[in-house]
Amino acid sequence: MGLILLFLLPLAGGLAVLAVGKAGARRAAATGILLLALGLLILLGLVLTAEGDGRWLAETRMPWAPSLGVSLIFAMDGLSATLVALSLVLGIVAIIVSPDVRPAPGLFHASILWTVAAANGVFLSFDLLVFAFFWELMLVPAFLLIAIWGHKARHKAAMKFLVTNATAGLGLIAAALYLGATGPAGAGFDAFALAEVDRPAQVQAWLLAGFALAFLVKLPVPPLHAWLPDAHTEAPTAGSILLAGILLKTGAYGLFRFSPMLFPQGVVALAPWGMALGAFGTIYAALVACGQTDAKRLVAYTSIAHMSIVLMGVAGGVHFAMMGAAVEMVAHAFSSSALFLLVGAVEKRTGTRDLRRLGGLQQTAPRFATAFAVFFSAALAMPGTANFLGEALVITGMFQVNWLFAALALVSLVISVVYATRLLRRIVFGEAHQVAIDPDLAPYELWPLVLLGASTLLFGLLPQLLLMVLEPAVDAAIAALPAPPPIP
Amino acid sequence: MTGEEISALLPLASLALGAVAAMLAAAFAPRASVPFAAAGHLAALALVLWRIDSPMAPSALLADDGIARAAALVASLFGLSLLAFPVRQREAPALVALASAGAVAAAASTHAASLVLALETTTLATVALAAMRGDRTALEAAIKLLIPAGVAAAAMLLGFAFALAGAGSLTLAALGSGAGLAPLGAALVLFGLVFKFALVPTHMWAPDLFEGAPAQAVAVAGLMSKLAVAIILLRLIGPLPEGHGLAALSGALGGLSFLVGNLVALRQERLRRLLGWSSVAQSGLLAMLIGFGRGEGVALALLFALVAYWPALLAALAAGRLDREAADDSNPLIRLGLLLGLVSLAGLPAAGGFVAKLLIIRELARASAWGSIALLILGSALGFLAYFRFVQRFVADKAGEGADPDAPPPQGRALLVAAAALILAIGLVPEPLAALLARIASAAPSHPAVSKATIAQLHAKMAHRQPMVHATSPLSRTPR
Repeated sequence: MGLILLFLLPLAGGLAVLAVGKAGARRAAATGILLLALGLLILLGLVLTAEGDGRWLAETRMPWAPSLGVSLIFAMDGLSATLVALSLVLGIVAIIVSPDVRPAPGLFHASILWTVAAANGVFLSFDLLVFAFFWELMLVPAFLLIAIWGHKARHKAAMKFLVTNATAGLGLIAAALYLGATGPAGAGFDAFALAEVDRPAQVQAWLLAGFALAFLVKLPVPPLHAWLPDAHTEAPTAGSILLAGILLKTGAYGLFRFSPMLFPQGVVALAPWGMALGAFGTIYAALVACGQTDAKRLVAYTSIAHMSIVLMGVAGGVHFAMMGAAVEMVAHAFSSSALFLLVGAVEKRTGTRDLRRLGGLQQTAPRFATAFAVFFSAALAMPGTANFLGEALVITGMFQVNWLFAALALVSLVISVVYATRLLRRIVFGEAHQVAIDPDLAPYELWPLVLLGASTLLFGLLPQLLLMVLEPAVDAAIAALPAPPPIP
Repeated sequence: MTGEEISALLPLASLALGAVAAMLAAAFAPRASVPFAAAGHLAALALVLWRIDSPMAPSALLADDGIARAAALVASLFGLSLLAFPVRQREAPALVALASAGAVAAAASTHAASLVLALETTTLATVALAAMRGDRTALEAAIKLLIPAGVAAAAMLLGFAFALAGAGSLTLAALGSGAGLAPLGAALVLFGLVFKFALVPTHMWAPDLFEGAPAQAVAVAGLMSKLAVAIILLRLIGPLPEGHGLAALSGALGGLSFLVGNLVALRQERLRRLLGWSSVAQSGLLAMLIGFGRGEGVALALLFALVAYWPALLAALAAGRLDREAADDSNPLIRLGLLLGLVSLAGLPAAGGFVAKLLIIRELARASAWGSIALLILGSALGFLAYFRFVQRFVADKAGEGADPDAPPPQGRALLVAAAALILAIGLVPEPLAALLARIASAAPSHPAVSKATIAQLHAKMAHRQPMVHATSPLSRTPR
């Protein structure tokens, strides 16, 4: 029951926030934060009261639409719990950093709650149609966030975001429906039951391709990434935080959770392609990031580069690589949402994100400068940050699979140093010319950043905290795979 | 006639009685017109539910199978909601009841006589409703419906005549028998149905009707006629052997319509025209399901999709201030209703349209019709673009604007709220609807299974009777 509350609370809470919104923006924000915090408490309660059977912290099953073969199957392991916690926390952050949103603050905060609710549904569902429901549901409030409160070119960006992702989602839906239609009687769309079915490798590969279409677009990995830079650039800060911190993670999560579980043979067939795509994606995106003059676009491309590394890790299929992918998912959520918060704060003060016009932050706004330095260090995977842990693990794992891909991932790391230092040099150091960034970070921006930075450092310095939680899910994913993937 | 046979006709009779009563009331007691028509619909609803487990009692012209019963239920629900449209003309309730009766009869028809009569009843009632306002645009819309409908009816009549010549029978089953001229007849009947279903390339009347006619007439065309034609198409195509040319043709035309409808919807600037093209696309999707789907689930998916389309269309029509072309954007409530309607038409959660799309894809996946699924995905992508352009214009860009204090209170507000609630209910809790439809459709054996047997019998008879048919057929010039 508690699991259901994790998404039902923000879903229904969104309506309450919408109603409260008429009484004022502050009250709507407070209600939203309260509801999400309550969700965190419920999550904490579930984790603390979990029966110690190793992997699953909580499970719920109930029939929902038997004549359609749909039932509510929710389960939470360490990975799901981490991601749910992440989405609740980032939801709170998104609300906190938007104190003076106009117009329709009620609808704004409600949309944030609905996005979080749908993401939590994705992280917990094990009935494939319910999963698909949340998967597509997420797009509607996120569309509203971009289309209503975005910047100048928001219309096109919002449309690109919705159409690309909703269409890719249909690939997942078609594959899931085929799985259910050809599965054993009474299994419906229960992923656990469907995982037992043995299908020919080729069929698995096709079905995996259908699932992967949705996941890789959401991730996104080049060449399927065209929607993301626009969506990030045009979205309001809160929207960017949710996009980078939660929505992209649903893609990585889906890949991680369902590909080995449902299509082990398909993963074996497609893994080399996945790794190659990831390697291409991370280098391509890192190079493109070097050429950006728009700070938000730059951060968006770094997101693509990092999520491509996650794809490499998942496709790698060995313990280190998958562990690294899981860690990177979490680490990237902290660092990229913090960077979007910072760039958004700069834009709010100066009205521009153009790197050529910004500069000298460390003279006028030291807190800003420090925050930028910390989170760009995380983005270039400085040792001591959780990002380092993730990328190091992925690269270590890749060396076990294929040294070429490992080398390419290393090259991408080197390029990340280039774009990160370039941005730091432009914004933080150098002359304070043309536009001054003033005033410095306000408390409502500073404290979320402190929280995100502390988490990055905490998991970077005490990696066991995170590894311990994620390990059962990683082990289960690897156990589902047939044999160690062939080493070419 | 046995008691069972009479009771099988009762839902239809109560709708017809409702129509007559409403017509009389229109002359003598205009206030009672809507209540009489509503009573007819409610009685039909109750009778369908009352007969839910009773054995089949088909008559010579009308089947009494699960699909016919489910369609009667759905048509009564549609009709009931259509009575909620605020319309000034006092004849409107009677015409709505007439359209419902026609749809119920058409969905049950297994014979040319009942089929053509019933279908024309619905169509002519729609024409009258469209023209009733009497202004130029309404008359134009009505004429544009009337002429294609006449062509379609003529084609169908000729088709049945060919079937009679070929197979010696006027039943739907004879059309599919493949004897003599029957295939040509079947093709002509299909042509007529394609016309009425507004499939590409005979779709041009639909957007014009949707734009020009009053909202109530649009809803009758978009719901009642669509239901009737869809079920007839299912009865015609469903029993055909796998890979039959007619099935492939209707599926292909459906796919084309889904693509073209969504593509042209992209370029629309008015909500009503968007709905018209969306209706073409919707028909296309259903035709694709009927043509390429196989097995028992098709009927359920079809009925579910029709029911899911119902509140979405009503919400969008109601948000367009019922009779005005542009959406009314003075009221947040209306914007929310329009948002839900458009999301449902696009087929995204948490709206009923999403579940309907799932059911349709499931049937196509079951039949391994991968090409049609690819087409569906492509068409849906265009649809997302088309519908969300309107979300952007009428919902996103207006967010935060309060109600205009000078604007008159929206008409049909209750209709809008009810439609929005229904969209969410079907989208979030689909089980009651799906279970009810499945129960009714399976309580009496559904049609395809039955008529497969009938077709086999008919084939046997045909082989036996062939020479005689040819000898008596005026079209046969073959010397024997």
